[in-house]
Amino acid sequence: MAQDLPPIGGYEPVQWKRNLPSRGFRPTIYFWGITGLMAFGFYRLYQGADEQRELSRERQWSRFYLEPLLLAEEDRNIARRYYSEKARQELVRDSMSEEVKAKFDQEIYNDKSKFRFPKYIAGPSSSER
Amino acid sequence: MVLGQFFTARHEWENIDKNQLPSDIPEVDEVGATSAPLLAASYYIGAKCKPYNDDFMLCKDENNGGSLECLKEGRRVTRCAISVLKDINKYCFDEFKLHYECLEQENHRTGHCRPSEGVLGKCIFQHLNLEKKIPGVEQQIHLKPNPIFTGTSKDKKKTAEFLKARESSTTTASAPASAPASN
Repeated sequence: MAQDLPPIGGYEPVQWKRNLPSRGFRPTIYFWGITGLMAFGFYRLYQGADEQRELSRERQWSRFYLEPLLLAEEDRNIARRYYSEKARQELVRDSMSEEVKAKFDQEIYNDKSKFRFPKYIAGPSSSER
Repeated sequence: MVLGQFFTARHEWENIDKNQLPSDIPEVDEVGATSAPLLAASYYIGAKCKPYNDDFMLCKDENNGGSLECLKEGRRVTRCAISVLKDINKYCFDEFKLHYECLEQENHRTGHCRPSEGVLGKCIFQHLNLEKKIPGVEQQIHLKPNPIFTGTSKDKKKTAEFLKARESSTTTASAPASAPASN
């Protein structure tokens, strides 16, 4: 009986590998590519942080240079209000009766070591209003 | 026609100070500059008025706030700042305007107005011999060649237009004598 033998010229080649499209580059290329990209990103990030710090320093110093000017204006306004309040208090004081005037002339603070801007308004007490 | 015109009780605001400073305190002018011009001029004010500013701040420090004690030093500070602004307006008005308008448009971010700032700084250095210098650091951020945060390119464009207009006006005005003006 004749044996089953391979055909003459051999079998067709067996497709042992799946016929898939190429999946891109070698993995090392991806690894170093992503590493390099991230390194560049962090480099720029810290450059930008440095620059932001210097920009805020610039802003702060411009404010420091303007501060005396703004404070001087503000102080003049405060002084104006203080002196006009003093004048107003004098006017109110002149129209007071004797005992109210004595009360008005009392010192508010025992500690006279420092100057305080007035926080209280001279006038009749709220019950007499 | 506005409805408010019919309300006769509407208060008419007059910008008159009814409670003036006492007459024994000398008058001093207002600075009268808004925030953007002040920001544009701040480093020059700081450079020119350093003695007055330091004097004022030290006086305030010594007098526990010193709102009433340091009025004299405060007037000096204000006068000095006014003189700087006057000088800038006298010699570099166009550059100054270019720069502070940019600052106004760019939300007061100086980093977005570098080209016009450079033009202004050059003019001020030429005429007033004042220089912008940020203390305490080697790296001057306003002189950095390729900054990361530059904002829009609007200021660059406007400054280029400004320089071009200036160049054309100077060449038409003094065409034969342009050789010494190039320095």
